[in-house]
Amino acid sequence: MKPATQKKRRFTRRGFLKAAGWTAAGLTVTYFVGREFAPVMASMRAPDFEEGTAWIKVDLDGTVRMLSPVHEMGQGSSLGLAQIVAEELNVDVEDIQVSLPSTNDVTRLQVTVGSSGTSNNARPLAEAAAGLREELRQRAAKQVGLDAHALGDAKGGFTTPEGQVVTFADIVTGTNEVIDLGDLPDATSYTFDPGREKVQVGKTALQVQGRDIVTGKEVYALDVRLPNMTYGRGVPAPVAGAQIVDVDDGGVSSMPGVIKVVVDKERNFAGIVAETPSVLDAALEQMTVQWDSPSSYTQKDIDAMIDVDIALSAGELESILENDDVAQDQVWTVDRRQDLPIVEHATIERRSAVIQFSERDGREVVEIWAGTQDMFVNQKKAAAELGWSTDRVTVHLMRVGGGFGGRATYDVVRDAVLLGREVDRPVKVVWSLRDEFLADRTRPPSSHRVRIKADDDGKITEWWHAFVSGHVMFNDFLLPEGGLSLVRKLFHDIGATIGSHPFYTVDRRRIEFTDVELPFHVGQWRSLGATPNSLAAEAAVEELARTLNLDPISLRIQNLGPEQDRLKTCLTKLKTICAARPLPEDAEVGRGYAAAIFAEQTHVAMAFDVSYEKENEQIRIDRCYCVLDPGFVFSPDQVKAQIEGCTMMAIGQVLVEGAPIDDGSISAYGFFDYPIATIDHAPEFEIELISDPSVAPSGVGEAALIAALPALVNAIRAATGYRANKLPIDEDDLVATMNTKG
Amino acid sequence: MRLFVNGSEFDVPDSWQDETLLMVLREQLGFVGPKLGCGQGECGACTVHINGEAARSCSIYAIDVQSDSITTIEGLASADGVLHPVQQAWLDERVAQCGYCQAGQIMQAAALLNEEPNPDDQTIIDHMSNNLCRCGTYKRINLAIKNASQVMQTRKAS
Ligand code: FES
Ligand code: FES
Repeated sequence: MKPATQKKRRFTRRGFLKAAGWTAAGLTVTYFVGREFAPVMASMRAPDFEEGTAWIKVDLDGTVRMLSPVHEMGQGSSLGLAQIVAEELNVDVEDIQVSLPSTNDVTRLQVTVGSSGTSNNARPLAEAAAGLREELRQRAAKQVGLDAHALGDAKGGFTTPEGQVVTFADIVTGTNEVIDLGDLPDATSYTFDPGREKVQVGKTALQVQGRDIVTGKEVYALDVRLPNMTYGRGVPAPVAGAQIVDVDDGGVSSMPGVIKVVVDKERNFAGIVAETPSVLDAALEQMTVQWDSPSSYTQKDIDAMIDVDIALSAGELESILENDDVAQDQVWTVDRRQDLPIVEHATIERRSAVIQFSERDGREVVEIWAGTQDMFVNQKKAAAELGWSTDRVTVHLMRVGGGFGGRATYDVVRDAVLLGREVDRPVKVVWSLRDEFLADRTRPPSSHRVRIKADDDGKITEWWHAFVSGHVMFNDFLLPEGGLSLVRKLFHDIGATIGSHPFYTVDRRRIEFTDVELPFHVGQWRSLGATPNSLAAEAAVEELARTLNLDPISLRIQNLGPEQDRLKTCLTKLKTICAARPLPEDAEVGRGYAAAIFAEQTHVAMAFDVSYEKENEQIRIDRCYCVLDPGFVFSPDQVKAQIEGCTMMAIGQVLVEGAPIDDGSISAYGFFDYPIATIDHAPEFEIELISDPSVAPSGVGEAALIAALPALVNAIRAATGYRANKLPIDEDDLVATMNTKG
Repeated sequence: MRLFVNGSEFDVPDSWQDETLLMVLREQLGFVGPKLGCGQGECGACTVHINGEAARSCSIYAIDVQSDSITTIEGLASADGVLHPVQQAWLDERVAQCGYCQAGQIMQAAALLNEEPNPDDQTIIDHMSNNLCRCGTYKRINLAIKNASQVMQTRKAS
């Protein structure tokens, strides 16, 4: 026990509540997501996060409010978590008011990546809400002069044996009370009681902010408007690593409407603040920045760096991740190459931030509104940029218009800080689409060779997966520039190797890998390296079934050990679902399958029906089948939405996505150069979820992507014979394949 | 300069007369529903109605639509707050993920149903395929349009 610290903590919490505008009377419970839940990510390594983190509050009128313990970008985890609170407190999830916190409201908010938002927060949140329920029950009991055990649950309150209802509004008094989790009575979570019938958890509900979205309310950073606001933007570096040599402002400082030209060579930054967006655009156009750029590169250069066969011809790869003495010169049953291109995040929202400097208690402070996957990393880095303590920097978390791993870094907030401190008015910074593409931390290209040896019955005996990729995890998200190249030299990139170990029971395996330093931005992209690795593996497994003339699902099940029962169940269910929809025999249609396990937790089996449209020489994706087992499902409709979204991304990657290299660098600057899937690609969906309240919940934002990509490639192979060894598919090759088939 | 938006007339200061319609709507008049996506006519996030027809407000100058009637998503519901059938269908089908593209999708869809009250799949695709959604909500968009179409027709019939 450390009473002194305890006291201080409480004081701090009240301070926070005040700042959050949550001072109105009511009962608030604070709870803490323990350190053991935290992966090693940018925000988590900060030394000063001792306590946390979120609030559940019952207002005087009985309304339940919560601060979302996750960043929200459409993955819907705030809804699943609200459903848990609703379950515990016996209220309708629609009646819970969920808001996003600022750095003033909470002391910690874990970076929201890796589909971990729900799984990390579900249990602590459930326990906090359950404790609050029991506290309320005790108070209700006191009011009616009964023992707490005598009170049953009622909607938004409790009921006496005689049927008298005591609502939360009756119980909560006119003072503002804050209770630590530790001071709450013992409670059992309703959510995690497997024997209990659920009322809120597991039901279909509308997303948090769903109504605001369809009515056009302010929910994103770029919607924020402040009195007297100005518009600013930096000049983007033309390529990664370019340094400013010289800036010729072309006389823009005297251009009407230009407020300030900011040039800070030391920070490698040049930008402009103007009265209106069009003046800003015109001024930026007129200003010339000379850059010292690292040498250019061609598509050929990058292809050669990544080519797995070139790498293998020089001997073994850099990192041997597994090696059971696989004989490398044997005759393989399947030997398949798979190459994947550079993939961009290409979100519809561009990065934006609004910044306002002001004075509070005699000190200069700053407020920043930003949509990010990591609010605190932005706060800390902004403070460091200014040479200030973090308590002078407030970041207001806004909804993110699509994250997919690309919004966890300190970027647009930096621009806002560097511009905002130069003018005494608020500044809105919105990147152009070109800025977005230039700065995107792309998924690096990768090249894979998977060799499988199996007996005639389909039992896999040897497995060799060799692959080369750019870096995925080792970038400025994880490490500062200085340490980056050293870490890249010393360790293999853990993001690129995710999912490279086969889940099949194989006698002997060899997994080897080389990561190469690429001359453009690379980084975290939905599922990291798991999708490329899974594609390489599962396309090879399907090819194995084809070679041996065996049923692809049975072959998979046959090679799964007893520890993979969950995946077997997914596959078995998939088989049943697919069997109910026999394919027409004569047409050019095909079905392909794949299985995957995300982060060792979420199990998924998928299939696609694909047809080839002769008239317009095109692939059509007809139907998607998916069986997904993520453990305990709180919000089934959100899980389905994630599956649908992953599927559309997979379709995009198979058919159209891939950033070209031209003129010495990546040359995608918008959706014309970098097409993504559109409504005409959308298939019919048949989705089945397996939910088991006794199994810990696991991530759903990426799992289906990992299975969808290989299942699609396999379906195209089945429909057309085209192997899609290189993505996106080459339409000319596809047509040529079809023509040779006759 | 004056603009006629969602049934009311607004004054726009002279210093904003070189701006796009999208910027004036969002920054000057506070209609932040239409979103800035690509800013160059490629994505549809900025879609509004001009005299009832879908238009990309990022690619139109405000000064050119002074005599037109402009509707943003804020003006789609009826005055008493009852949602337009398309908005309601969007909620019923739980279309939005990140939501960023959805104001544009809804406006595009509402314009489609104005023109073609009972669109088939191909008509929906033809009309909606230039409205991008990175979250991949397309299947639900399709369902919501059909759902709204039915509601609107039943209402008309009764
Ligand atoms: S923002 Fe207007 S079309 Fe993209
Ligand atoms: S819902 Fe996110 S872009 Fe469409």
